[in-house]
Amino acid sequence: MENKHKYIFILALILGLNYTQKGLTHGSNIEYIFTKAINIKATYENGDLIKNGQVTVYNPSDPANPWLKGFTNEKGEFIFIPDYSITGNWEVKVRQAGHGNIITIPINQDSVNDSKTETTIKAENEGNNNVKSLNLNNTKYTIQQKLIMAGFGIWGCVGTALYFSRKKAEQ
Amino acid sequence: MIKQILPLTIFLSLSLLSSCSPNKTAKIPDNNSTLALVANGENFVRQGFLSKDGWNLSFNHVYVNLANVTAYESDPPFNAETVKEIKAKKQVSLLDTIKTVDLAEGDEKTAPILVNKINAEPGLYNALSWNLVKGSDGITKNQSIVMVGIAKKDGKNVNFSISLNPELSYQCGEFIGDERKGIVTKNGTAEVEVTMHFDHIFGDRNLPADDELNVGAIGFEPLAKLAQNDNLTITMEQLSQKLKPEEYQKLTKSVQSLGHVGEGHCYGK
Repeated sequence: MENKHKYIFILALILGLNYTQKGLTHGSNIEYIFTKAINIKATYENGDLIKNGQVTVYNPSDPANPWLKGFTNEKGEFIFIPDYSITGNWEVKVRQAGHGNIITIPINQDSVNDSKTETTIKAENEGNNNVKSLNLNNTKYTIQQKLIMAGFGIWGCVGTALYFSRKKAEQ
Repeated sequence: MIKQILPLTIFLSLSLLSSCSPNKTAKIPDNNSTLALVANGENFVRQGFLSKDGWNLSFNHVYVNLANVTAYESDPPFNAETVKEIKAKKQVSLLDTIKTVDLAEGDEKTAPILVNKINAEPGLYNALSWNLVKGSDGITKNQSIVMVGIAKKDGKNVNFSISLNPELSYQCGEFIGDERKGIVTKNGTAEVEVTMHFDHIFGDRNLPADDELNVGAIGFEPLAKLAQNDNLTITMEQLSQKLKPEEYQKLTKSVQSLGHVGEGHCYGK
C-alpha cells in the first residue's frame, strides 16, 4: 500500500511538471524523425563539382510546374525529401552557365520500403562550366528476383488451369 | 493431364506478356491538343556575338534545312550522352518534308520560329529527333546551312556567305531551359524546340579561352583570312581545301554539335 502511494505521488509529480511546462510562454519543442532523402551530387565530366547549380524538382502529378527549387551546395550536392505519397517519375533538372540536363527518379512504394534504394546523380562536363549529362544509378530488381517473380506468375497460371481442369473432370 | 493444360498455360502466359508490352501506335487524338515545333538559333544569330578571336559577328540570315522531325514519349527518358537510341512509348511526326528556316529572323525579343503545328495525343514528349539535310532549290540548294552576315574587327569588315552541306541526324532528350516543354495536356498546347548553338562554330569571347567550347571552335579568324576584297563567299568543299586540316576538322566537329534542345545536348551523327 505504501508503494502504491509512492507511485501515485511520482505520477502526480510528472503530471504537475508537464502542466507547468505548458504554462511557460517561451516554451519550445524540438522533435525529430528519421526519413529518407534523395541526395543529388552534380559533377562535371572532369570531376569538378557543380557548385551553386540551379536545381528544379518536378513531381509526377504536376510535371509542368516546379515542386521545389534550389541550388547545389559547395559540394555540388542538393538534398531533398520527396513526397512519397506522390508516386511516379520525379524529375530533377540541374542547370549552370547555359547548359543543363534533367534526370528521372522513379518513386514507388518500394522507394519507401526498400532501404537499399540509393539514388546518385552525376553530372558530367563538356567544358569548364557546361553540364553535359546526368547519370542515375538506382537499385532495381535483380535477375534472380525477376526469375522468381516470373516463376510465381507461371505457377499461378498452372495452378489455375489445374483447378479448372479438375473441376471439369469431376463433372 | 499436364499435356492438356500445358498449351493453355503457355497461351495465358504469352497473353499476359503481350499485354505488358508498350503500344507504340499513335492513337488518333480525340481532343484539340496540339504540339508545335519551333526552331531557335538563340540571340547568337538574332543579335550577333563576339567570336572567340574577337570578330563581331552579325547575321542577316542563317538558313537551315530541317526534315523528319519526330517527338517521342521516351521510356526510359533519353539521355543523349549515354544512350544512342530513343525507346518510344509513343511518337508523333512533326515534319516529314524539308523546311527551310531562317534562324536570324527577328531580334532578341523574338519568340522561336514556328515550323509546324499538329494535333497530338496528350503526353510528355521528352525526346526529339530531327535531320539537317541539303535543300533541293533556292539559296540552300545542295546546302544544309547558309550563314549570311558581316564580321567586324579593328576597323576591318568582312561580308560573308558561308554555305555548309553536312547531312546530320540528331537525337535529343527533353528540352532544358527556364520552362519545361513538350507536356501536352487534354485540349492544351505545348511545343518542342530544335535549338542550334552557333557559338560552337565561332566560339564565344565571353567565355575563357581554355573553355572547351572555345577550344573546339574554329573561330572566325581562319575564315577571315580567306576573304578577298572584304568578301567571303565560300562552300564547305572550298573550305576543305583552303583551311588547315586541323581547322577543317574543328569546323566539321563543331557543326555536328550544333543541335540542342534548349540547353540540352543532342547526339549528332
